[in-house]
Amino acid sequence: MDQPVQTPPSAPDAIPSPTHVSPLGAVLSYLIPGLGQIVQGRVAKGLLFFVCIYVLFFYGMYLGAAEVRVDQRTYRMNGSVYLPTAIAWEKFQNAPEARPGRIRGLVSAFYARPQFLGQFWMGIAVWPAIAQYWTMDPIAEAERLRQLEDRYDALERLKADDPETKQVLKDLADLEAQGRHPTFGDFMREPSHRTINVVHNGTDKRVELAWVFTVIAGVLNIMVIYDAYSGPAHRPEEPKKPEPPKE
Amino acid sequence: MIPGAWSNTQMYFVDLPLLVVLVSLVYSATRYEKWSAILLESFRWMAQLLFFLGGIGLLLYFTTRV
Repeated sequence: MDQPVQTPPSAPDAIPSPTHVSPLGAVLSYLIPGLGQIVQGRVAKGLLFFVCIYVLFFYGMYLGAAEVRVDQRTYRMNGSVYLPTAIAWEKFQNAPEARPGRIRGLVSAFYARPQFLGQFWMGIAVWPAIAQYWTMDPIAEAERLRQLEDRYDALERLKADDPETKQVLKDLADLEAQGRHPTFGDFMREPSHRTINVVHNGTDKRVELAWVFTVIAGVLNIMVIYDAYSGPAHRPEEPKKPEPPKE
Repeated sequence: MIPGAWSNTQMYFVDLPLLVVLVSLVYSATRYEKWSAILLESFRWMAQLLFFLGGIGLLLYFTTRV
């Protein structure tokens, strides 16, 4: 008589390895949140990521766009996303030969504004800030900011009907216009110290929330990038293979 | 930006719910593929976040009253 076939004991439950990784999907989702998922055919999910992350990010930009009028001048911030340029180089004012280049200067820039490490992951949406940083002349920018402070101080000492006031306001407008990016203008450009202080002191605390929203959006996109790269953390159950008939 | 007294109300009734809903949805969608699982997980996370934030809010409220 034939011996019954003994089926071997089943292997312990193992974590399934990724069946497919997609570097292209990850890159696309970095550039535009959800685009990698859409290209992979997961359209609804991609659209969900696109809408949610961009709503968070642009709502943060909206919260950070504020203006305050003090004396005869309007101070305006156009958002909470920027990469500090001259601030990072300020400490080298007395030793200009020690100034680092733009790449090494990024370390100082991130130290001065660590929020950008989170905002960076929004992809194309924050490239204007990188373009502003990259095209700025640090020495000229430091000098421009010094002259701005000088003119702000002069304006504080003058009254509205003073004959010098018009010239000082014109100087301020000219200095603000200097060094503007040819394409992006002041968008995602580092504001001056004075502007940051006046706007933060002159508005409510929702301006502080602005960078929180944009950083959270960027950090969430890191998870979206990983989802596009290797799928969700919990995969849908795969259909079980039919067991061979027992003899 | 909406200035003035209403901005605090807007922070609690617009900013905070928006943040909680969007973060929960995105996080849950990165963990599951099926929509039923995504929505269930996101509701769970919304409840957890609101409970946690509410608890901290109450703690701050009572400690500042003392």
